[in-house]
Formats: sequence, structure tokens, C-alpha cells
Amino acid sequence: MRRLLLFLLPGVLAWCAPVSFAAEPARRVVILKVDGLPQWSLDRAVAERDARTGKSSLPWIDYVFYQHGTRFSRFFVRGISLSTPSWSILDTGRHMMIRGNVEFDRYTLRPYDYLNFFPFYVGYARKQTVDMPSVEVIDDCGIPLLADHFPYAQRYQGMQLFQRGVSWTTLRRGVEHKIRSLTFGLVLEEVNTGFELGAAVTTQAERELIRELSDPDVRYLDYFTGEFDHVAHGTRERLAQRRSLEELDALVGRVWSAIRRSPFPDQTLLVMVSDHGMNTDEKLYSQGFNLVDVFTGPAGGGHHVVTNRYPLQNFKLKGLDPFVNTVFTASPAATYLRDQSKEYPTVTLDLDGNERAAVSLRNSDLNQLHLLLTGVKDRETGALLHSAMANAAMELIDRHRVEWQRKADELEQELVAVGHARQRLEDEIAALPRSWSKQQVENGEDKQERRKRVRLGEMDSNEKSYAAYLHTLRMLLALTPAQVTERAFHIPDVIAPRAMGDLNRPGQLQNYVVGWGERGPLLDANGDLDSSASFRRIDYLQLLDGLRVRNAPQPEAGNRPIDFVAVVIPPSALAWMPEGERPIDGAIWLAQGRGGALLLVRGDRLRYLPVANLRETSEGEVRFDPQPWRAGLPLEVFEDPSFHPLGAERERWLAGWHTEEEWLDASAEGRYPNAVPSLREQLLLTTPKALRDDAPNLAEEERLVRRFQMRTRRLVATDLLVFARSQWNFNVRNPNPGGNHGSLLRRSMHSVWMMSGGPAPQGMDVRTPYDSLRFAPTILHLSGQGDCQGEVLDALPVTELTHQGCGPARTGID
Amino acid sequence: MRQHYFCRSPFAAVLMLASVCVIRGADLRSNPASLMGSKPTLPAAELRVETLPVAGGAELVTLIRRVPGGPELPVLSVVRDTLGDVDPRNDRLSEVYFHTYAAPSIWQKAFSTVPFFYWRGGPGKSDNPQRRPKALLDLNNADGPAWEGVVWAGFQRLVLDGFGTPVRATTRSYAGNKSDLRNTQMFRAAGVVNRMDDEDTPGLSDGEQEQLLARLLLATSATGGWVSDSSLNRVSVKKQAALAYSRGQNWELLRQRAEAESLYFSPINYAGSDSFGMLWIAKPDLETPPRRAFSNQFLAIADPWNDERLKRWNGYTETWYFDGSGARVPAAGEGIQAREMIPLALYALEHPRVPLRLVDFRDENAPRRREIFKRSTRDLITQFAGWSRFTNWYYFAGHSAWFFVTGRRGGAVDRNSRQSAYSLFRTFLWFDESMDPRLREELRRRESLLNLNPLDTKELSEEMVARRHYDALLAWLGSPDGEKHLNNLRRAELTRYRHSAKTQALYQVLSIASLGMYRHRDSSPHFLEQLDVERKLSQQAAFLDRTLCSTQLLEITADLNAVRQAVEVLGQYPREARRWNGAKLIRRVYGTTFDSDTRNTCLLALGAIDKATGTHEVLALNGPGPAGE
Repeated sequence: MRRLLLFLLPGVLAWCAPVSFAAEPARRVVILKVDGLPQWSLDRAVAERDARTGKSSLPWIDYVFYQHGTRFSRFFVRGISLSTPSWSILDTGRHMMIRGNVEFDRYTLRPYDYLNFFPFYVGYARKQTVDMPSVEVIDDCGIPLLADHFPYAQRYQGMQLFQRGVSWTTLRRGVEHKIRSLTFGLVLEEVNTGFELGAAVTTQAERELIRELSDPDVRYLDYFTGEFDHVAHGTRERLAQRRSLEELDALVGRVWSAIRRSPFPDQTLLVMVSDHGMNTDEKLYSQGFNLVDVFTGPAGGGHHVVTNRYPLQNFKLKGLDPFVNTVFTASPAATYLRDQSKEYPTVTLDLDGNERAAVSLRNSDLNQLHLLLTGVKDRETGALLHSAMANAAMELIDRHRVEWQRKADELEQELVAVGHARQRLEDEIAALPRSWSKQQVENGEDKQERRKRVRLGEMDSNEKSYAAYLHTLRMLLALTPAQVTERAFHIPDVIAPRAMGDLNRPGQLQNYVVGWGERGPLLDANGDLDSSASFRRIDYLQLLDGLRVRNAPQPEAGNRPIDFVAVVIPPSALAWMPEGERPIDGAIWLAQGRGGALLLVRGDRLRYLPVANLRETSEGEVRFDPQPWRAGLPLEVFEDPSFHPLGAERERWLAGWHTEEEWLDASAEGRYPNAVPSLREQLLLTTPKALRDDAPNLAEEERLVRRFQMRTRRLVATDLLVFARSQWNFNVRNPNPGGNHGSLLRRSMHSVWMMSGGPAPQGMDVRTPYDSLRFAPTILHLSGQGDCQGEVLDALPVTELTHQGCGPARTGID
Repeated sequence: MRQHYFCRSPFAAVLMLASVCVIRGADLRSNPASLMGSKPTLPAAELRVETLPVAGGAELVTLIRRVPGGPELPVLSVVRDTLGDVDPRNDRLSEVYFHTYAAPSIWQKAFSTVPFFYWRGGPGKSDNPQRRPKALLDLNNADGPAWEGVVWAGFQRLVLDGFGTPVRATTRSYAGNKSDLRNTQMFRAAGVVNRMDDEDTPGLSDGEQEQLLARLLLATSATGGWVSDSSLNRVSVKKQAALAYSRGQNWELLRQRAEAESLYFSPINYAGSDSFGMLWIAKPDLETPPRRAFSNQFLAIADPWNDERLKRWNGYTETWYFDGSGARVPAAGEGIQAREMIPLALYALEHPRVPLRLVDFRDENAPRRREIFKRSTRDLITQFAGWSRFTNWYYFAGHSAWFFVTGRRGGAVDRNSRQSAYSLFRTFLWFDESMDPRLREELRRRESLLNLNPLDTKELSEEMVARRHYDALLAWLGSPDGEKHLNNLRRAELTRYRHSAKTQALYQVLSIASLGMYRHRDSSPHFLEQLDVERKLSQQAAFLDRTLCSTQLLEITADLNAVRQAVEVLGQYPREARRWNGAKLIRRVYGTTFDSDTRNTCLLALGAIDKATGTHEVLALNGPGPAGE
């Protein structure tokens, strides 16, 4: 017995003290990426005891991370709590370049559909793609993934949103293993409960991760699971969600045990991170509010609406189409665009995540121009009215002529430069070998070649689609009064089909033209078109703020589905403000009707300003009436009892300019944590280092290509970012009654970051608030690839885990 | 409190019950009137559990429905065989009796052979107190009905169908009605078990409740009886997850459709979950109908906006109150508007994919017509045309395509799911006392129209049947026949422990072929002692298997005391433990822990096995520990 105990002692010690703090960097990093895992839910489950065992209901997570690891108990999403944007920050350590799960280009209506795996897999099989669309976008921005910091042969990447390449063997072996493991009993069980083929692939991915752990050359491994997110969207029931957490806990146990058996048990850093939380409540259903109905309905303007999926797709045969990424919903209330839903949609909606909706409206002046030109073309229009409409159309074109001309010229220059770059890339590809050696394949060189081909195709497609838009814009600018009067034009030649045009200014959103007025086009006393009476206009900020529902059976959720709407205001519109108050980088209007608040942005400082009666003057200035502090403002900064500082001090604090970190600290315990920096991240695009066109010694053509790349990112910006109230959502694909995310609410923003093993200290709870931008720098730092100057990444590692001089120490509210 | 998970496609609606074991009183949402606080409501009926000793060393656990101020009614009983001792490790549930089940009378049986006869039968046959009441299910012989089904299907296909249409139609009609009746009783029994609050009514343990529920629901599927006991936990978890999913999806689907059609939705809470939903229309809104056309997708009702019946409505109505913003408030007050609401329809929310309309207040026969149409179409094809999905590939293809397309578009295509929803609705009306009595009466009347089975009893006679059935059961269990039957069950159980699956299958076939005259039962004189050992081993082996499957290191996830006790039991009966893979389980325990006490226990147990069986299990131990250190 004694010998046995002596024999076991090393193992026991290894198990009981699996993590010892080591200043040495980790030789290996294993990241478990969990989609939509809220910190509060995990904390609650870990704290609960299993009556049968007396241990935590999540014993492995408790043991590995809570007892023997480091966790960041105040870790928040940066940006909105939505998968693709959030993973883009976590996976890169760089500012957000993707702002939704789907994005539509305003000029070409090209959909960037980041969540659909099916086209990616098929494209990969046909050698047409090599990376997920999200990876292609950040590659175009010159931003590497966290995994890219490790050599190709030293990394193992699981299936995920930011995925490079496809491992067919994972799919094949997963299915094979599933079939092989089917026993008669299991078949019977599944016949009575439903087959689970999907789980076969994720289980196989886990097996492969564990197998790769035994390879000493592999330094980076990750594994993605979206199971909890999926379950929590579908059901609010605590036991169903708990079941999913238990499976996650078992996964941690298996991976941790595999690490203990691997070549580097003490030098492996195991990380669990989530992209966002989940606003789920076991007592309440999340109620859907249909924005598609609002915008297609008569009160919403009778728009033809574009989404990336079919509404209620589970109940449609065409909902089975896995390639769909652009769905046109025609409005029965459409007026001047009746029966033209596919040619002229006027609203695009990204409803994913569900607690927020990104709404793009076709530029209001394009609508007005479309109406005028349609009226002019109508042979039944009387002569006076015809002439007035023609004049009004030309006047509108002239009003925009300078701006449109500039944009057309710039775009043309960029397209020429892109064409040259494409030619060079074509030559480069032609010079590449036709076949690849085994060694080259193992180094991923064949994938690089295919990546170049994909890039080439992308450039070609961009050139063509933007050239088509440019052509239409040029035709519009070339339109003469005589041509208009003589009806010598075709509308599709001058009004680009399937294009939203430029972003609407705040004033346009408040006076948005949706059709002719009730009495149709009218002339004023001078015989000109009375533009104020002729058009039907909608104030979308007022409309959205005033929406109520009759079916709100849960009193706690109320009958107002919309919290507030965020709109970007360019700095030029606020140039009239006094020097000390003027924002340099623009502002974000958190609109509640005509009031709400402004977030003013000046460099790294932000200020919150309550306003009322916000309006845009004819000179393009945005004016407003500053308001005293009161409860009920967006983000509840004034009345939130957990917002710091408290009491009278708060009013003084709020009146000042503060850094992002100060805003994060102040709101970390509040109802909308990290909301102010997040809104800035989400709505004000930051140019990545690789695309800065003011870099020294940059060739003119390269400068233009960079400018074009940034233009494509700016063109997916949306007019309105609509936030739902708690327990409301905008999903129309299928009901999501269990829970949702996407908003800035605490349950959605509070996310998970925990580490164990290697250099991660044991039993440490980092109470300083951090957001997701700090994740990648910290992981790189702990794996010996530190960037203490922030030269490579956009943030520094967290202070608590770095040594000597890696950025200033953070001072949290504790 | 522990919840139980149940049902998906075949069982869907009953599962709704599954999620809840706590009897909550009258939830406000269960009664729109109570929300408004304007009408008095009765408290909900509750369950209590009564445990009575049974001759021969068993207990009869009975769920008794009690309405405050009303009479008590036995609903369901289950025999717990304790082998006459107080050790819970050898307790086992066996037969389940559902007391509202009345054996059909000869007339009911005769009518049930008539094709296309879709009317519920009479009061059923009264139980003779001297005769043994029929058990709904034997938990130790769960696969028996499955084997019977297979043999009967073969006999029907190969023999009876060959006699031509009259025989095929009558026999199939009878078999179909019989099977429906059995399924209905299973669903209803499951619904009752789900109402149990295991804190207030500690009659059944969590594990027993879970086993009972899972078995009742699995019994409604042709292959459910063959699902092994070790899978019951997983099955119930999956089914409950599916149920919870359906409930939420349908709740929201119905609410959104109501919103889109300018109607009103109110959920109805049953046993802690919103299991039903009602659709209403505000009478004043009829004056200003919406401009768009009415769509009945998922609602399955006629356009209410152009319905003259609603303008002249003199049926049940309620008054709801709304504040200035249009939000519903509980009571009248300043600035509060009162609106008269007319009920349009009631839906089951736990039906898979879409809410299932159960009641149409304007056309009370509409749900019945739909069900008759679906059923008669099926009967026409199977009974008269003689087509079967298993023998006619064209029919198989056509049926599958129709099933897929209609189901995809939101049609309620699965008969078992509909049946489950109807059964739950019936149980709900039976238990719920919180609803406005006028509304409940209207719902009861309409519910009775949904029952198309001539073998089923009328609701009014159920209470009388239940009392007689229970009395007969008590009398019979107290008789020498009852004790003999209990021992027969024990011998049959021992047979299952001591014979291979193939041999057991053979015994089943022989039993069915002899029309039940032959049943193999182990006849050892020491069968009680043997059964005691086998039950303990079965329970401990199952515990160890379950525990080991979910961990890599026992000290992190398991209660080591419980593990050691289980290992000790296996070592205590080394010869019998071989049947339960005892040595293998102990080796796995040894390889999954560093705990020296547990490892010592393993070594001792393996030593005992080696000594008793002449094997070398101790030597077969390999690997120093879980992580290979």
C-alpha cells in the first residue's frame, strides 16, 4: 500500500496543483470559444451545489477556472453584443471592421453574409473560397487573426465564424464515427427522441483537438461551440440551459484531462472566452417585434425590404435554400415602386442578434428624385406639373452635383487603381507553381495561392459592380434639363437599381420622403413644385419611438419594443458648437423621438449630453436644445443606481469629457455596461493601420487601393441602429423566445473570459473591468508574443497579468 | 424540485406537463379574469400522494386529486415492490394503474370495429371488485407491449388482411381504436404524474418519478418499450428540452400572429407552464376592421373581421382594461379603458412546430371535422385500399412527400402529437379549477367533441369509474391472488436479470404465441433473496456506469462515498456482479481516481471477484492514473 501511495504521489500532486504560477510564457495556448455564454449564468451555475454529489453543478469549470485559474469577472463586450463583430475583436485585438452578422453594400447591395457556413463549404469544395467571408474582410483590411500569429504548421483551428480552410476529414470522420458508434439501443433512443447528426461533427472536432494536443509541435489550438447560444435562443427554461452548461463543463474536463496527458501539461494555457452574454430570463419570454412589417406597412412608408433570410423561414419550403443571402419582401402598401421590389428595394434590415436592428434606408433625396423622374415620365402628367417636376428634379441634381461629382471622380480613380492591382495580382498568380509539394501543402502555401485567386475574383467583382453604380451616377450627372423635359431618359439608367445611395443625414431621417403626399404633386403660387406639400414624409425617429404593441402579455416587458435609436452625426454638422464643447470626431445621437442624448467624441474622450428638439438646418447644421439631467434618458446614466459615481457627484461627472476606460469603470456595474465606448466602436469606424492612406512613402496607386478598401467598409454603414428594450427582439426568421443578445444591456454585454494553466495565476479574480479589445493582446503576451507598445494590436495586455512596463496600470472601481 | 423532460414528435403535447412537478396555485396568467382581479376564482385542484402497504412486501403509491372543499379522487396508482424491507436500494416500481380507465363494454368493442365510426362510447364496463383491475403498464415488462405490437402487426398483415376488405377493415379499425385508447391513457397518466410536487408529496423519489414519466411516454411509441432503462434519463432530458422549445416557440408564434391580425393573445398557465393560449378579439374593434386581408396561417380560424356572428355574439365574453398606452392593466381606474373581449380559439402550445387549435368558439365542430377528415382519409387508405407505407413504395413516397411539405408549412400532421395535445387538454380541464366556471364549462363541452374513439369513456362517468377501479384494486391486492400476482411479477423480473436478451425475446414470442397462457418465470425457491441481490447490483452498476461516463476524474465530479459504496456492493456479490460487468466497472473506477480509499476499495472488491470466480482482475489493472502520470 505504501508503495502504491508513493507511486501515486506525483500524479496526485500534479492533479491537485495543476496550475502553478509561472512567469514563463505558455508554450501552448488552447482556446475554448463559447458563443453567447453569459457570465452571470455561469456564476450562478458554478455556485449551485449538486444535491447528489455535494459539488458544484459545474465541477470542472469550478475546479479548473474558478479555483485554479484566473477569471475576469467584469469582462464586457466592446461594440454590440453580436457574434461576428464581437469575435472580430476577440480574434484580432483590433478595432471593429465588421459591424453586423450581415452587411449590405449601399451602392451595390452586395450582401456580406458572415454566418452562413453552407456556401463557404460548397465554395471550398469547388476551390472558389478558402476562408469564411468574415476572414476575407479582415484580410482585406490587413488584419491578422490571433491564430495567424502562430506558424501555419503549429496551429489547429476548429470550425468557427472566423475560420480559415475546411477540414473535410473532421466532417467525414464525424459522420463515420457516428455511424460506427450506433448501437441498437442508441438507434432506438434516437428514433424516439430525434437523430443528432450535427453533434457528430462537433464531437469529432473535440476528438481532433484532443488528438492534436499530443503533438508537441502544435502551439495554438482552438475549439468553437455555439450550443449554449442556440439553446438559450430557443428556450428560457433553466434546466435546458443548465444541461447545455453541463455539457460545456464536461468538455472542459475532457480537454483539461487531455492537457494533463499532453507533452506540456504545465506550460499550456487553457482559455475559455465568449463573444457576448445572453439576455434570458427563466420567467419571461423574449417577445419579437416585426420591423419588416413596420417598414412594409403603410405607416412605415411602404418600403420593399431586403433581409438576409426569409421571415418565418422554418415554415417555408424556400426557407430550405441554404444559399440564400438576399430576400426581397415586397410591400403591399408600396406606391411609386409598386411591383418593383427586386429592382428598387428601399430598406435593408440586419436583424441578427435580435436585440438590435441595423436599418438602411435608401437616401431620401434619391427617393425624391425617383418620384420626380417617374412623374416626369408619366405622359398623363399635365404640362405645368411636368415642367415643375422637371425643374425640381434638375434642382435636386444640381444641389448634389458637386458632392456626387467628387464621389464619382474618387471612385473612378480608385477603380482604375484596383484594376491595376488586379492585373499585378493576376501576373503574380500566373507565376506561381501549378502543383504543390507535400511540404508546401503542410505549410499552407496552396491555401495562400487559392487565397490570392479568391482575392482576384473579389477585385474583379468589385470593379464590375461599382463600375455599374458609377456609370449610373455619371448618367444622372450628365442629365440635361432638355433631356428631362423631353423624357429622353430611362429611369434605371439614372437611378441605380438595387442601391441605397449615400447615408441619410439626420435631417433626412426626420423628413424622409416615402411617396407623393395625399393630394399628389402640388404647385405653389409661383408655379413651382411645392416640395413641402407634395411629398409624404416620415420622421423615422418619432415613428420608431412611438411604436406600441397590443399583445404584451408579460407586464414586466411592457408594450414598447424599442429602447432608443442610434444615429451618427458627422463632425461638420456640429462645427457650430463652441470650441470647448465641439466634437472633433463626430457624434452619436441616441434618439428618443426628437430628443434623447448626444455622445460627443473628441479623440479618446467622450461626453454625454442630454438634448431635445434636435433638428437639421437647411445649411446642414444639426441644432438642439441642451437639457437638464433627468431619468429616462438613453442608457439610464442618470438614474441607474449602479452607475458610478453616485449621488450629486454623478451630475458633475457626467457633464465632463471622459476616456473610454473611465466610462467603462463608471458603468461596469450598471444596467448598460461599457455602452458608451461600445457605441463609439460600433458606429465610428476606425481606419486600421494597414489601410491608412496617409502613411509615408506610399505609392499613389496603393493609396487609392487603400482608400477604396476603406470605402467598401464605409459603404456597409447603416442609417439607424435600433435597440430593443429588455425582453424584446427583432428576429423575424423564427421566434426566439428563450433569450437574445445584440443590445447594450448588462445580460447581453457581460461575457466570459477565464484562463488556467501555464502563466495564468491560480484562484485570481480580476475585478478590474476590461472589454474584449484586451483579450488578444493578453493571450499573445502570455504566449510570449507580447506587444507592450500597442504597435501591432490596438490595445495592451491586461495589467494584472503583465510584468513591468506593459502599459499604465488600470484603476478599476474596486 | 426536480423537473422532468418529455416528448417530442410522437408525444409532443403531453410533455408539456413534464417540465413541472410543482403544483402552483392559480397563476394569474392562467385566468384572464383573475389578472383583472374582478372575478372570484376557485383554487386549482391539487394532488396528494398516499402510500399503503400491500400484502407480500410492497406498497401502493396513489396520486389522489383533491379539490378544496370537494371530494378526493384516486387518479393513478403504482406498485412499489420493496421486498418487504426498508432498504431503498432494492425497491422497484412495477405496475401502473390509471383509475379513470374503464374496460370497454361489449357494445363499445362492437362499435369500435365499425370503420368510420367516430363517436365516443358510453360509461364503460364497471369493474368487478372481485376481479383484478387491468394495469396500464408494467414497468418491469416495458418491452412486452412492443413485442405484442410487432406480432399483431405481422398477424394482421399476413393473415387477417388476406381475408378481404371486410375483415381487414374491421380488425384494423378495432386495433386502431384500441391503440389510440392506450396511448390516450398513457398521455393522461403522464400528465398527472407531472403535477406531482415532490416536496409536498414525497411519494415517489426523483428517480422513480423520472422513470415513471419516461416509461409512460415511451409506451406511446411503437419502439419505445425497447428503450433500455439506462437511457431513460437521456430520453427524458431530450424530450423535456423539445417540449420546452415547442412551448416557447408556439407562445411567441401565436402572439406574433395575433399582433399581425390585430387580435389579442393570452397564455393559459397549467402546472407552472404556459401550456395553452387563447385568441381574443375586442368587440369594439369589429367596428373598424384592419384594411389588410386576414391571414389564418397558424391560427386555423375563419376571418373574424367579416363575421356577422361576432357582431351578434351572446356567448362567453370578458372585460379587459387598458391604459392610455394600450397596455393591459388589471383593473379599472382613471384613464383606463374597458373593452369587451370575445374568445375566438384555444390552442395547445406544446404541439411540435405550431400551435394546435383545440377549440374554435365560433364553430365548435371545426376541430372535430378536421380530425375526422384526417382520420377517415387514413382509414380509407389503410383499411379499404390496404396500402401500407412498409409494403407500397409509391404510397410511402407520396405519404412522405405530403407529410414533409404539409408539416413544413405548419400543418399538424403527426397524429400522436395531436392525440397527446387532446389528452393534455382533457387533463387540464379535469384539474384546473381556477378558470371562470362558465369558460371552463364551454371548454369542456367542446373538448368532448374531440374524442372520436368508441372505446373511450365519457368524462362524466370517469369519476365513478375511478372510485370503483381503485376499490377493486385495493381489494384484489389484499387478496391471496394479489400476493400471488406480486410474486409472479418478481419471478418474471428475475427472469429478465438472469437470461440473455435473445432468450428473453424468445420467451416473449412464446408468451404472445400462446395468447398469454405461457409466461416464463424463474421458479427458484430463493427467488426473493436472489431478486434482492440482482436489484442492488443493477442499481449500483447503473450508478457507476452513469458516473464514469461523465467524468475523467471522480474526485472532481462525484461523491466518492457513494462510489465506494457501489464498489463494495459489487464486491459483496462477486459471482452475480459478473453479469453486470462488475469487474470492468471497478477497473474503470480505479483508473478514474487518485483517491487512495476508493482505490483500496476497488482492489478489495476486485480481489473478492478474483477469489470467487478464479479470474485475475487485479492483475488486469493498468495505468497509474487518470491522466497517465
